[in-house]
Amino acid sequence: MSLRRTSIIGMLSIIDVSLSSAVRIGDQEQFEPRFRGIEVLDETNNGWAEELYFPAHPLFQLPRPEWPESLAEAADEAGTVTLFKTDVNHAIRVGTVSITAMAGSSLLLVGSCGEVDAEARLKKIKIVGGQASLL
Amino acid sequence: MQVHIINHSLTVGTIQIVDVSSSSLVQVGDTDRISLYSYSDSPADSLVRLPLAPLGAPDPLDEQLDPPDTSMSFWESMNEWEAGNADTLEMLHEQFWAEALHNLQEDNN
Repeated sequence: MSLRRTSIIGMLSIIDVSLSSAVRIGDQEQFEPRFRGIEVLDETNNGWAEELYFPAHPLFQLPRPEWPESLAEAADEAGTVTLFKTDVNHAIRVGTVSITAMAGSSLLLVGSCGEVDAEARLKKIKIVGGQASLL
Repeated sequence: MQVHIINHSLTVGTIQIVDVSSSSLVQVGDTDRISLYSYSDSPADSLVRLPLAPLGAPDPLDEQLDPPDTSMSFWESMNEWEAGNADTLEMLHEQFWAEALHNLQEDNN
């Protein structure tokens, strides 16, 4: 990790942190949170949701999107990019950070980070009158 | 290509946020690389029109599942369930997918 600036916060206020979220104060190299959620709205009394063993089913199947070929070709044509950075002021200053709620593999980071790779997948199923439909 | 970045003074008074959700990031600092993915992820078989939740076939390697009952067809079991004589809805669901997989394998052969 290259030389980073120092983060200075006067006051930090958070009410709720849940569902694979994190609050980090300090530098870190890597952060990879994962969140899988399923929401079932069952308006019938048939007990569909209770009788199904959801973890056994491949609920989440969409692959991650890839870069368009045109963009990859343009990056190849540009060649190697050399980055120079000059920090005139070595601090990032924030007076007050106030957050009500954090959820779903979210991150509040006060400091520097190498790589962040977060993924949240959510599926909703609604069962009305015996007919299951996807929202 | 060469890129030269000059960071001058950066001072913020107040950051006020109500909700940070679904792979979101709030950072006060520097970073090299950020990848944030948020899906409303639906399986390919989500268009099945049945009185069942649109789930994929259960994993046969899952030890918590019993092998599906294939003594009668899915629709026969469905009629039995509606008449109040079948076991559980989960059994019906597994049976449906066992038949679907069997038919798919036969089509491939």
